Amino acid sequence: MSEALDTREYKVIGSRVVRPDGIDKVTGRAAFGADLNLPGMLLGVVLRSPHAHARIKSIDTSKAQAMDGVYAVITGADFPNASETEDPALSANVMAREKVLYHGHAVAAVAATSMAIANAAAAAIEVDYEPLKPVLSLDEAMADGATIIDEQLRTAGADEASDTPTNVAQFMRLDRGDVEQGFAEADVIVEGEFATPTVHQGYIEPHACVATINEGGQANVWCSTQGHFDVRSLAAKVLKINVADLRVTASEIGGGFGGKTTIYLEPVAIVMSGKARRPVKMTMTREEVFRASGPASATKSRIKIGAKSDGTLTAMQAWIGYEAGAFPGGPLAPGLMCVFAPYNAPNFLIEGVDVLVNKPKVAAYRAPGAPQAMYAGECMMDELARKLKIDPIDLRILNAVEEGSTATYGPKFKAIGFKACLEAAKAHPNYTRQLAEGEGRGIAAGFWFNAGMQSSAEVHVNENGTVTVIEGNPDIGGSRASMALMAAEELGIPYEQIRVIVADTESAGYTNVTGGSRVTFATGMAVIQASRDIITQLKERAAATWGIEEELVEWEDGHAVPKPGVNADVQPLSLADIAGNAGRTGGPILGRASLNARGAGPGFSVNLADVKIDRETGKVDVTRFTAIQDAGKAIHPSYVEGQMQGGAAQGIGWALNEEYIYDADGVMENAGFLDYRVPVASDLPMIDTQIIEIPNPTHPYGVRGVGETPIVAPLAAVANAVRDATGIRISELPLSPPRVLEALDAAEE
Amino acid sequence: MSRTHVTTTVNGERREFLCEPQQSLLDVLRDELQLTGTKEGCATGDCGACSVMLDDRLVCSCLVLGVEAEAKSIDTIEGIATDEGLHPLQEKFLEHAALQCGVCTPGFIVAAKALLDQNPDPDEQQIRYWLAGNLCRCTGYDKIIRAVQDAAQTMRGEAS
Amino acid sequence: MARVFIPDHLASVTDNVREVEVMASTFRELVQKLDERFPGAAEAIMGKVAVAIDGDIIHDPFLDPLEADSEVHFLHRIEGG
Ligand code: FES
Ligand code: FES
Repeated sequence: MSEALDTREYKVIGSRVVRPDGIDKVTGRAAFGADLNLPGMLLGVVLRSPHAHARIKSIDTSKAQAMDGVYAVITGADFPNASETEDPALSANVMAREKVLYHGHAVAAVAATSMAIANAAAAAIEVDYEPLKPVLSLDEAMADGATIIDEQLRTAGADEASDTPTNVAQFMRLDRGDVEQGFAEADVIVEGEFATPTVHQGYIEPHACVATINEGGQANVWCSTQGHFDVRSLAAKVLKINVADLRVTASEIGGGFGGKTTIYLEPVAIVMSGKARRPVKMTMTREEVFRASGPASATKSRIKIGAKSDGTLTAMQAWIGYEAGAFPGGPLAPGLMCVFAPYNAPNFLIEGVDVLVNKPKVAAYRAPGAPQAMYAGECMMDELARKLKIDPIDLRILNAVEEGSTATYGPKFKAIGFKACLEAAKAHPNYTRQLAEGEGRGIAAGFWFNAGMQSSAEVHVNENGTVTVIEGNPDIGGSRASMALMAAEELGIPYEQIRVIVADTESAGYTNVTGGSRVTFATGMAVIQASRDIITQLKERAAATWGIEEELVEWEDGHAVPKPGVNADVQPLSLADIAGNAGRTGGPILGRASLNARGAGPGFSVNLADVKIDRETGKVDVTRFTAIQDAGKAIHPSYVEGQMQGGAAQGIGWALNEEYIYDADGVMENAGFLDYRVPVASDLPMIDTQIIEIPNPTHPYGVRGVGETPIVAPLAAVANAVRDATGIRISELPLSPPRVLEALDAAEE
Repeated sequence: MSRTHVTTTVNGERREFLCEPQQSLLDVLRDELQLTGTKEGCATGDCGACSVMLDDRLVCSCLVLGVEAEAKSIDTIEGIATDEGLHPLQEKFLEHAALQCGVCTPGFIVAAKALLDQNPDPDEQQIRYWLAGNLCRCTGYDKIIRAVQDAAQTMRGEAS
Repeated sequence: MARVFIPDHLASVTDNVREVEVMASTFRELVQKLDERFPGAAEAIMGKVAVAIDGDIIHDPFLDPLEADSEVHFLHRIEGG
């Protein structure tokens, strides 16, 4: 489903209204995952593996079962066989069976009347492990004679099918032209190797849910998720139950960034609720979030770029390895598809692998795969500009994709805003501002596809002409406001007369996850169509009221009016007039739309970072940061800027401080916010934003997704700024004080 | 486990509760007093989502024991709006879109109010350092800082 | 005739043919025709890959119409975070 672009002047789109759910969120009323309490509710905890890799020989739960106040103790044996489910990896990740595959992997769970009892009971469960050698890095996993994590695994996508067990889950290649020839034609070639660590989305609200299931097998789940329909289908797969027996209500969600697009606790709470015949609430501790939810892949990469002396690219080559964690599924495909996506390269060869290691199964993190890939690619573009002595923005403008260019991943781009972002960056005062002594400046580009997929929306007209919009995407960053703005724009009524409800899986039409930067684009399109459905009906009602033909009525500024030239002696009817009379003209007025949105508009960005480096400590401070991004059309500019600023902050954290630190046994040593250091207010400057609006031709208002692109460019922008300030290319993230200091010291020797 | 009887004042009201010796003030507020506006992000004092005022001192309620609340006065996010309506900080957080997911917001508002109550005219640097104990993963802090500056201005009676 | 571009990961199905022309008015018909020419193509494509038709990425292609001069690219499915 796609729509013709509309070029009207907007009345409310683009205004900075207060979000409809705002008051509840600033007064503490909004109910997040852990905020629901039910009568008779038990509290559940998970017992987690102390080993990164081990065989489970036996589990004895008898002592835990016998404790007062304990109502359920479960292990993998209480779940359907993982291999007989539709998603064996998910199932085995939710609860380990024969083997534990990472430190923190769930092995058993307890529900009891208090946390103290539940924790004591979990501690009383006896698990006999046979420890195995953990595989903790890409290099180890791919080495000859490596310990094999899953004996059944074979490399998908390999050129030669092999029946040898491996840790390489997938091989992938994208190519065009002749890359050797392209390098032969180059006047200049740059090459580099890069590494990025495992990082976490770091949403502030830990995973939480409350589940109840009755004797007939009908379950209710309340949880913090980016997609309650996905929770329903995933939990139904793990438990082999009918989706019709599972009703999922999304709580307000305290951040997700991709990390809440899958499930961990929900099936466990359902099984325990069934055993205990009581509601069960489960919440992860922050430590569990780090150890046992889904962080983002660590990567290693090699990049080689060739160009003519005028800067024209002749060949681009990349190899990128993604750590998948304990099960296949790292973001290999999107990463490879992104790495050189902003550029026209006549010849390229992009290859990569998805590799198992004994770490938590990775999950999506904002533009999954792209930040790691484009960090490496954009650092090498910077090196190329230096070698060619060309301004780094000019080098990019010279090679930038535009409408009609063929993307490295295949199709031709429609209207895109990459050049517009580059030109805006070039003209930005922050690009030409004089740097202070010891400061450096970096620039980098970002790209993300954005997603469409399935959405539904209903619009209900209330008897006084106010409107309720019902949709199925948890509001993670102000999307209720965007939906209300779009409905208000279509219906021609004030924004304040619209309420938006995020309904549960039995009350809203099926809707894919709040992710892929798809909500304002796809669900917004459904809201627009449902509003147009309402307008058709309003015109029918007005025509019936006036006793004229429907074709003679039009909808203008929130009123039904006769078309120009129609000779009818009638007064315009407002939405409230028609709604008040609905009983007499055919009953309540409901509009609806469901769609599978095609043609999501790719998002491009350009970031400028200025840094200052403390020579004594190696500490890098970002002193100025500018995010420029094509939003297509900003429905609510403040929330678009917010996405750009939040993505910048996460990207800066990834560049400078964040990393999982493992000991030799595969135990994460910094599983808390004290030692896994996300940026705090005093670490950051104001983040300047500039929204570019090159309309996406497939959305009626030109909307592109905006949520993910912002995290892609900051890694390289900061790394290039550090390179600029120090003259040294440090090719591994994070650029933490010890690493920077070591590089500075080494350079001085 | 024996439970201790605690008498305290919460948002100006006398409240009593029974609490286990190891239970944090955060758990007591959320689980015993049903004041779930105060959030848990870490339970180790590192995120500030659980910020409350304890006898006019800003604390992480996850680091305070429930029993320590005896005879003390606690102010939480639920007590910040009054009969007159929202507090200027609440208004300005909404106006500036200083929240995305909103889970950090109660902690930020409680902490920012503590700052403005003692320093009505903080500069950007002072706001950033004061709020450095409150993590927000969504906003990059920019709009939060602006909301606090704007609220301070309103509270000083200056037009914004 | 629609121009169909075969990516590396499907090249084994098409005996390394990387570009074909197919007369089809919908995506479903295109896949049927590909399968007649390269048995196993339908199995490898339907429900497994996304497609870009004239630049629009479609996650679950099936009934989507093709123009006489459409360009069709098969892609890995991207969902995002
Ligand atoms: S929950 Fe208290 S500081 Fe994080
Ligand atoms: S708004 Fe989400 S953590 Fe601050």
